[in-house]
Amino acid sequence: MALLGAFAGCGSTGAAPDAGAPDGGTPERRCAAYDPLRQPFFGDTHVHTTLSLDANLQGTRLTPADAYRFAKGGEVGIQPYDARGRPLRTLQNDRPLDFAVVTDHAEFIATVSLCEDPTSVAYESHGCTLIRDEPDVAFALINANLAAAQGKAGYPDLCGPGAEACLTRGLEVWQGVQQAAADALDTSDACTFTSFIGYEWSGNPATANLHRNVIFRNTHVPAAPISYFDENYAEGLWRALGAQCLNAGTGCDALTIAHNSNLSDGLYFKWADPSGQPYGRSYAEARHDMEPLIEVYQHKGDSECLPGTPVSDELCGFEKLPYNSLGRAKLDIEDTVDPGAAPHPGDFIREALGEGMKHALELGVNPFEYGFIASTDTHIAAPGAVAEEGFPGHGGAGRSHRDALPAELTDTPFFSPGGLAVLWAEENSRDALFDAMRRREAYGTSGPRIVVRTFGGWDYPSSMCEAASFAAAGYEGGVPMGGKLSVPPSAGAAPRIAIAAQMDPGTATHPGVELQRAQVIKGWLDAAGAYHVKVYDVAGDAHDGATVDPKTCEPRGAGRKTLCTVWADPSFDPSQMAYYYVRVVQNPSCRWTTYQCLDAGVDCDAPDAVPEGFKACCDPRIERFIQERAWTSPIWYVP
Amino acid sequence: MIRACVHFFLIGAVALAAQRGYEAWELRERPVELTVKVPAGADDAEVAQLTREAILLSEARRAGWAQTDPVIFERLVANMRFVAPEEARRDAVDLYDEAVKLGMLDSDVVVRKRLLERATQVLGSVPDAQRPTDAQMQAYLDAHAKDFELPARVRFGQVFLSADQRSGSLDRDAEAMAAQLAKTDPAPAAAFRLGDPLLSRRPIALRTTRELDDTYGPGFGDQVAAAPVGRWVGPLRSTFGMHFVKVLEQIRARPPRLEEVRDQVRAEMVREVSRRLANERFEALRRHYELRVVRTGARAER
Repeated sequence: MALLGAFAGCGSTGAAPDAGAPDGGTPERRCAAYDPLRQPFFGDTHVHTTLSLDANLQGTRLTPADAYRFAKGGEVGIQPYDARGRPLRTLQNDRPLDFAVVTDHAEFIATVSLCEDPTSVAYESHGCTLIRDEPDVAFALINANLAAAQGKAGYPDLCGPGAEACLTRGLEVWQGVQQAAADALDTSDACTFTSFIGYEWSGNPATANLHRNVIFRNTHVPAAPISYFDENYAEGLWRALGAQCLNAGTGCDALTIAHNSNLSDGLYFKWADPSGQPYGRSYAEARHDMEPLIEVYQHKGDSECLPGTPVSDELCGFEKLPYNSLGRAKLDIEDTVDPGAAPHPGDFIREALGEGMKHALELGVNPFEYGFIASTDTHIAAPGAVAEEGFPGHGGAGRSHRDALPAELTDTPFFSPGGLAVLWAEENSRDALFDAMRRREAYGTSGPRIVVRTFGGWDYPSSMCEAASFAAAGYEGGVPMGGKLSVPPSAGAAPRIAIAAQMDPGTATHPGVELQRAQVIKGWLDAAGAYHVKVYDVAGDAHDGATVDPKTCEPRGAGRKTLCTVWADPSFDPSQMAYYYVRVVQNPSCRWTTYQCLDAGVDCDAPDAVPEGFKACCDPRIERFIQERAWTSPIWYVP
Repeated sequence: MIRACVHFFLIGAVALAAQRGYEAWELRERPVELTVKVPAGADDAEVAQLTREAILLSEARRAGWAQTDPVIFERLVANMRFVAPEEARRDAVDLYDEAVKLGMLDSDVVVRKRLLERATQVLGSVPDAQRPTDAQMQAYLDAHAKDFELPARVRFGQVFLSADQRSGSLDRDAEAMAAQLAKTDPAPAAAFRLGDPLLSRRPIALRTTRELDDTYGPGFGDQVAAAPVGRWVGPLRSTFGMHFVKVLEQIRARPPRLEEVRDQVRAEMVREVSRRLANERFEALRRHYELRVVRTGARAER
């Protein structure tokens, strides 16, 4: 019977055993805290565990089950481990997450398991021996498989002929991933936590990042994850997901989330197919439909905008990496940065939004009609570990401390703790959250639990902020973040963007930081098809005078606990395509490096006395104070 | 996809064999004589571990897995192609037979580990008859109620006075609001209109203390949880200002019904049953062996 069940799953689904509802979807129920006007849920959609080869080689031993336990508020032990396998550091979030997705790299999902299992046929292969004995060398050599020219990437040699060993073992590991998600899901009506089945497709030609996270709505998933070694191009991934999931007639549903376009060396939004020809409408449709969201920010930097491109915007300097791909990165502070490695403006979302509108003019579909989220991309299985103070380092391309406790800054100085994904949904269930992702009613924060809500419409009154129900008025008179404005009701009408934000209240030990201001970023194409951007301060006060005590990191001065306004576009032209997204920024606070530099007693006035490993504390490129923020998904206007 | 299916099928076959394997073990004649070689200086724990492995290997070999396991087959074929590359094109079955003749079933460390892995799986396999019934899961849930407890929740209406909007008059406004609420006792569903708007999750739905803390700031949840049901109280202070609340419903923390946590209970019970069966079965096996422990000069190969 078990065998029949297993075989019946082939080609369509791989439902995990004991996964919950008979149909494999979210159990048919409403959570006790169901709100038709929707509520914000905070989570992390980008999490690596010991199943990801890079994390594993850096000493991450925590499993998907451990990662979910951490997300739900549990304490975990993290590397380094002593000789008896006891962790030397512990970690716990001060608040649990509402949802999380473990997204291990699909490409090597079997490699770790094979190489750690003495019974596997690959155990004694050169690759596995290297992984066990020389993890740093293995990291470079095996990752070379990912960095092969696009179209030529394939499974590592240790997988054997036809990659059989890895494909076989991958099925088992994938079952385990599904089971961990099933076990973590709260199926009671308390709906305290939602897990999703997911993985990462890790396209990485010549070290240019083209990665995507793949997230499934329910337990109906393909029999095996479709990896970069199976499909070398994103369009192949979407096609395969269509065949094996969305169009398989099994109840399977999936979407992809783009990330780290900032590290793609000009490729993420490049508009040419493998033969060099411009993409056509079918590609634009696939990208639009399959990839509704992009990470605007995570551990490896901010992808929103590069200063000065296309307009001056002082807040674009936030968490910028000074290179355009990890292969060209100088991951530790150096005196000089290779000029050829400078970030490309076109790799940032703000430029892509403009390009997307141009493609939409030509093709009728906007391939880059992205909604925004943020996440951590933790490689130590610590979803939602976004606190600046006490940041342990997220590993991955950063520092992991596999062999010894950190006697230096705990991560590569340019990296950061990453952010959170926020979804506006009726309840904390798989279906409700997945629907929110698909309709782009989502936003990202750089870590704080700022609540922000936007609506776009034509007739919102200026008094909407005083209305008893901002949300009811918002839905009734327009569309939420991620939506498209309707046709203007009259010739002189202009879009009105209603914005309400609320500071993160924080916790007893880490009080929240008050808000400074809210901004609307408008982008549009003029009559000649040229792209323009304008940034408007619409609420709060950019000059509220708030600062930070540089010796204690205590905030000084007041900001706003809440912000609310209805902003009308003063230069709207109904014939021009446009978008509007909102950025809400906090008053300044200390960056993670600043906390650690203070703890280490660094005095930059005495450079010779700065401890080794803390030189970056005095590097002017490392900001001492930051303005944490939230970015909402754009609201679109299409004539 | 076809390739993936074949592998899926294969895994299913091995898993099924593993489930039936323990039944086969129990049918064998007993006792069995077995010599266990241990290093001269091995302590009790080491001897126990090596004894366990020897017994499991013995059972695995007697079950015939060395001849049927696909991983072992591939391993031995790969061995032969490595030691005799000039014969790499020979039929895989021929190469396997050749490896068996050369004694690799006994000498190859990977074969040994694979057999141990499968034997361990069999020891811990849970037959359908021992998978927990609803009644058993209910009993388990009753016995471990604290582990599965659903948190306390509260439903309330509120009137909010914003510290931002009333910075100079907040305390005075709060006094006036307290008097107004005491006098008029407005219905909670409409009373929020008396105060300032709030963006967060609407309080009229059930909330846990933790959720209230996350939304309004630390300590707010406890203040609401301590409020009496059915009358306006306040002001309660939050990060955002002052709140008057009328609690409509207090749901105490409670053990869940089985249907609410069935998957978690089942997973926990199956893990426990597996651990217990593995211990019982191994002890049963051990009683049917006549063991002779021989200490050698060198450390045993593991």
